[in-house]
Amino acid sequence: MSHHKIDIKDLDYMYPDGKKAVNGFSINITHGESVALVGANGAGKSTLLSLMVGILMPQKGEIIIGDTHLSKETLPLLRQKIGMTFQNADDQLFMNSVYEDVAFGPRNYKLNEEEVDARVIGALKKVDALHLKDRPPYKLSGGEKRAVSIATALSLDPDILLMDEPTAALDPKSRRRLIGILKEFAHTKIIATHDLDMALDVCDRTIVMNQGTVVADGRTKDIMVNDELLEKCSLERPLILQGQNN
Amino acid sequence: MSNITGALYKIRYLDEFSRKKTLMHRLSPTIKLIVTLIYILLVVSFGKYQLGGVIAMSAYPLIMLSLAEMPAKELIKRVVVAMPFVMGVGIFNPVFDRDIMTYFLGIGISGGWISFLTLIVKGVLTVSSAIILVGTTGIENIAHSMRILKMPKIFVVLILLTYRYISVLMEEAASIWTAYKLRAPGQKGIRHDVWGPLLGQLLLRTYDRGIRVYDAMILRGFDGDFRMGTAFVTGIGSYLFLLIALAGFLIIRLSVITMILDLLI
Repeated sequence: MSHHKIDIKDLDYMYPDGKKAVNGFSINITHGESVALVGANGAGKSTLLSLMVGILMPQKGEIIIGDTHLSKETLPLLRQKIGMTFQNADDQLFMNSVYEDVAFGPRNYKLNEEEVDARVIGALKKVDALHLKDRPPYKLSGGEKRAVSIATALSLDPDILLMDEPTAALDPKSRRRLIGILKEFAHTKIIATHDLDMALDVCDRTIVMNQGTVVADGRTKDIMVNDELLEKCSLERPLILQGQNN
Repeated sequence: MSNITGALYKIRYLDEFSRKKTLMHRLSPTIKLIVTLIYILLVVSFGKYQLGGVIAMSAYPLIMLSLAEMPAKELIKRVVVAMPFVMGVGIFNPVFDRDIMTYFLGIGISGGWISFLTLIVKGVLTVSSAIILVGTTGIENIAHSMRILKMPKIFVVLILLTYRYISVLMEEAASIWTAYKLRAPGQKGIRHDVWGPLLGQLLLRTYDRGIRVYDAMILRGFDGDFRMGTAFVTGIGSYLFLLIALAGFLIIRLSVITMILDLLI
């Protein structure tokens, strides 16, 4: 069974205060696609990611990962296949050492310790952070924390990676390094971001969200030069494309 | 704000210290937990006027402190934090219990003062032994040991998350304080009329943050059981520690030394 594809149909979510964050959202993402999810603040990007991993449960519509419908019963299986990184890496790192933090997921899925060790070392190598394995997470720099938080998701060997603002609060060098790492992943990726230059670099496809719904879905290269659309959604051309003609 | 930031480092100091490799650190976490629990029960079991016996029980944390190579200063700083609560419990003993029980340098000492002192020493010893346990074992290993000892899952998770919540609370408190101080130059402390909104903010922010940390845990398969890497190996050294500690406790608890100390005091 492949878990790499995602099918979301007519999804609705309203917060208890009455704010409708996701409103009739439908998309289909296939194996290995790298998708940027962009939109202004409050467009519903983070809510959508939370719905896809069952942190929030949809009030209407359905989410199908591979061939499995997302429900309370299927969550443990699906969460093993979907890795997610949060906007604030600090929220994701809670153990005493980087190694223990990355091993937390594989151990919860009761893998034997040899396998856990291989997963931890493999995940840390992928994000170029093996040298940090014995450090306490709270002593790492922002870029190192981000790399380790990605490793915590990778250690479960997920088919799909969801990332919420992965480049937020990174210095230019750490950001560039992270972009390099993301480009190497063969996973199906959905990256919610305001960093449109990164989106242009890493994602072939871009979905533009506004008021909880899809307003555009297409090739990143095309969307990033559609000034009318970007303006309407409180976005701007990526820096690298500013001053260029369509 | 150096206070809160400093306190945050103090909390983390114990986490970092627990990764040392001294003789005490290498002992089985489960055995250390059992010994600490028995020690706390025995200390608490002394009568309210048995000050001598309780003082004799201080041998255990002193020896542990030395074997774990933990700086006494670090322990004292943490014990002092708990003392106001202990003092609050016993503060009225000298007021209500005024019968003179003994004389020291010709001054009559009432039962209330002896029971108050006994309570303080009991507080110091039980808190010290718990801190030494955390500092030589680590909170995750303690949680794992609790599950080995069949303590209810919900109880263990509660302890673990409460421990984690302390650092979340302090981080948020530090950032709220910094934001306040930057807009209230020259003020000492926080004005009383903003205490309410500030504490409300702190509660809401830490609650949100706590939820996000918990979400991160369940996304990685957390089901209430804390799984540590390798199974705990309880070597001969750990059993020896258990035997010596228990024998020591019993000798102090039942022995003549305690009785003599009590009679003297």
